[in-house]
Amino acid sequence: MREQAGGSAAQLEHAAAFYAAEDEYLDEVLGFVGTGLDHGDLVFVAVPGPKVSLLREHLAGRAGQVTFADMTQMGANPAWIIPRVQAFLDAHPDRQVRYVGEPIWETRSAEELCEATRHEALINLAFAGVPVSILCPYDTTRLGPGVIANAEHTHPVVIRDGLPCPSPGYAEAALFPEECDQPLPAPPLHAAAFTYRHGLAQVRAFAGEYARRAGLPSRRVADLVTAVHELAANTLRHTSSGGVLNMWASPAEVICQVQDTGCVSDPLTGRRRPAPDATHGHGLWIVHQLCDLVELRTSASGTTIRLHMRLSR
Amino acid sequence: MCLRLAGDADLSECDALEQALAVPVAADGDVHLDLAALTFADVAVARLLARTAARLVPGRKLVLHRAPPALQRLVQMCWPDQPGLEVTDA
Repeated sequence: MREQAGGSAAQLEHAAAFYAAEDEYLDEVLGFVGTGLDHGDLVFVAVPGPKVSLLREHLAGRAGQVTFADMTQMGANPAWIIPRVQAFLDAHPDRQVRYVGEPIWETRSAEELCEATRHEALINLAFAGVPVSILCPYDTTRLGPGVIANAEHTHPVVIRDGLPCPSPGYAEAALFPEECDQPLPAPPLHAAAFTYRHGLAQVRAFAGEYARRAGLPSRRVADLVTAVHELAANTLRHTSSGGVLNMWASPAEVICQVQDTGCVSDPLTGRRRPAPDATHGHGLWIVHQLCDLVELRTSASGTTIRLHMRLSR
Repeated sequence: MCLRLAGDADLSECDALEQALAVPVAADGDVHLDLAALTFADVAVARLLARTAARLVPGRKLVLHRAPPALQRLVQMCWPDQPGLEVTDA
């Protein structure tokens, strides 16, 4: 955003910056960061580790004024990002904030790309009306055309060759790009299945036993059991028809799917830390926090939630 | 006085747990819970503990002794700064 007019955002600004080379990346990001620092804004930069080093090097003496995070850690599960940005905003309520977030990179799995794209769409909801300026760099040489098209859908502003303009693809009508809002494919035929209508202890026993036998470390088994329990508890609380638990393993992950007839009406559920005195909403928050990746699809006919736990991390 | 919880505790146990806690809560001093033998606790139980701590008058606290790591994580994720709630490995 070299030509950025004025300084601080009066409301949410959410721009995708497309870059094809390192100097273009540096121009965009350093320009955005520098404008913020010139105006006395607080700047938070969460990008993949090697780019943190690159930016620190080029910011030289000003690097100390910027808060950095390695996005491959902070946003390994994209659902962790909005709460982190919110926490940064909450910690500095009287300051203007600029945030650089690069949640999408070429080695992400197809499922992660989809969830990271949904995260980008949810930024528009989570920070609607909040005076924060957000820049999301996208590497057009390494990301496929579909990923770039989705970025046009999820960002009200796109920057090409340093020039910001309203995104023609930005669609407020459909929150998520169609490609990232399809029903999840059916579990594999060899998946284990468990149907529950009551009896959460049996749900926990089934999930724990499967995860242990698949080789998940014991601490992660406990996390998965907690996550599955909370989803099944939600089924029993919000529906009268029970649910189905499916589990299977890939060479790298244990995957667990909970399906019921409930509906998650707020797409941000689980991406905001519930207030301390909240009487509900903790379940999905914990599920997102505990799992390596969560895929959630909901409609009037039901909800499917798929949890991924890596066998090694 | 120290209450001990053992086995799995989930939302179905919350009413019983709340009744059990009512006795030390109505008395004076801190409320102590020994959780060393607890094998599972869900967020409903963690929420009950946080809410119980929140209702104690300032100066009193609910002390969770030897809580399993999973419960400690639940508390950390949802009620990291709950006044009146202390988690200790002792």
